Amino acid sequence: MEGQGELELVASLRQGDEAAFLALVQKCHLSMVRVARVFVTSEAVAEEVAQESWLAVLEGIAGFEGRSSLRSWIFSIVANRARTRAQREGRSAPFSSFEEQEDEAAVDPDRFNPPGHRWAGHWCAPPERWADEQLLLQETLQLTKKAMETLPPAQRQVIELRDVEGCSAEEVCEALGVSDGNQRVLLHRARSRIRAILEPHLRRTA
Amino acid sequence: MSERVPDQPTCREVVELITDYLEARLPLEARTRLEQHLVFCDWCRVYLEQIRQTIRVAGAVSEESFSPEKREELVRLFRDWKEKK
Amino acid sequence: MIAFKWLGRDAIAPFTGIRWPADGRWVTAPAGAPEGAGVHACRLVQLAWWVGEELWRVELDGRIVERETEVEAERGRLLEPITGWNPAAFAQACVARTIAFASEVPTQEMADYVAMVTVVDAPTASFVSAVAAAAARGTQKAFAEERTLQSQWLARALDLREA
Repeated sequence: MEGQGELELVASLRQGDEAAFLALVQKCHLSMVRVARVFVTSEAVAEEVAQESWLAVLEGIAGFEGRSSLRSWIFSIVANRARTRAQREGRSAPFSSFEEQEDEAAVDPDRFNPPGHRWAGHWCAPPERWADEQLLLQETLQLTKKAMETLPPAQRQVIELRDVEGCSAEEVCEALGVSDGNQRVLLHRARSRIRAILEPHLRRTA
Repeated sequence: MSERVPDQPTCREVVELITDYLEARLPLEARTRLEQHLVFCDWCRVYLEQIRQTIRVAGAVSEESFSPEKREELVRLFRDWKEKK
Repeated sequence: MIAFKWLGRDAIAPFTGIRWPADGRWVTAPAGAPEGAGVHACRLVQLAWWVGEELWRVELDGRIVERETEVEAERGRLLEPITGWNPAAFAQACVARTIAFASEVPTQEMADYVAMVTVVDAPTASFVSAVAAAAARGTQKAFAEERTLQSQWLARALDLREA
C-alpha cells in the first residue's frame, strides 16, 4: 500500500467510494484490532476501538496530508484511541511505559562465562540450531502468540507493529509517538524474550 | 581474552547488539567487529539465525482471515457515515 | 579493482544467507544505501579476518572505500573460485605460531591458548592465535599484526596476486 496506489486510495475514500473503503478495511482491520488489543482489556473492547477508529479515519481523511503513510496514520489513531480507552477503564500504565527503566539482558547471563574466566563473556551454554520445519508448526505459532501476551505492553506494542504487522521503524515511531532509539530498545527486548520462550520448545530437534 | 583485545566483542555483547545490527543501525566500526566475531563464532551465528527465525514466526502470527459478518458490520458503518456527511 | 571474498558453501554469503551469482553477474548495493551496505571484499593483507569455506577472486567497481580490515564497493562480481584452499593446513600454521608464543612466554594463559587452538577450526584458530600474539607481546596491536601475517601466509600458500 505505497506511493501512487495510496494516493488513489485516499482520493477515492474522500469521494465516498465504498470499494476503496472495503479494500482498506481488508488490509487493516485485523491489524488494528491486534494493535488495540495490546492496550485494552478484552478482544471485544479492541474490536470497538477498531470500529471507532474507522469512523475517525473517515472523518479525518479529508485532512490527511500524506506526510506519513496511510497505514501509520491509521495505526496512530488506533493507538491513541486504545490508550484513551484503557485510561478510562483505569488501566493506564504509569506514564513512562516507553521509558524502560531497568536494564534487561537479552540472554540469561548464566549462559556466558563469568568475568575472570579465560573466555569471559563467551557462551558456555550455547544455543542449538532450530529446525525450520519446527517453526512452521501450529504449535510454534500458538506458543508465539502466547509469548506475545506475556510481554510488557510497550514491548508488545512495538513487536506487534514491527514484526507481526510489518511496519517500518518510522511508521512505529509515528504511530506510538516514540523515538527511533526507544523503539529499537523495545524491539530488542521483545524479540529477545520471544526467542527465549521459544528456545526450550524448539530445542527438541531430531 | 576480551581484555587482550577489548575492541573484539564477546558473545554476551554480540547478543545485545544483534537488533541494532539487523536494523543496520550499528556504527560501521562496531558492525565490522561484530561480523569479525561471527566469522569464527558458530554459536553467535546460530543466535543471529534464531532472532531471524523469531521474526519470521512473529510475522506468521498475522495470517488470519476476515469474516463476512465483520465485513458487513463495517460496510454498515461506512454507509451510515456517508449518509450523515 | 581485483580483490578476494570469503563465502560459505555454494557461494552463500555468511551473514545474510544470500547466494552470490556464480555466473559473474554484477551485484549492486541499493542506491542511497548507508555506509557499510555495499559489497564487501578483502585485499590480500586482510584475508585472515574473514576466513570461510570458499574463497573467490572478485572484481569491484564503482565507488570503492578501503578500510582497515576490508574494502567496500558499490558493485562487485565473482570471477572465479580459488582452488587449493586447505583450512586444516592454515589451522596447523596457527597452532604452530601459538606454540611458539607459548614457549617464549610460558604462562598458564598461553597454555590455555595452545590447548584451545589445537582443537578448533580454521577461522577460530586464526582468532585464538592472534589473541595469543597479543598476550605474548603484551600489546593490543599485536592482534591485528598477527592477522596480517596470517593473511600473508594465505596469499603465499594459495599463490594469490592482486592485479
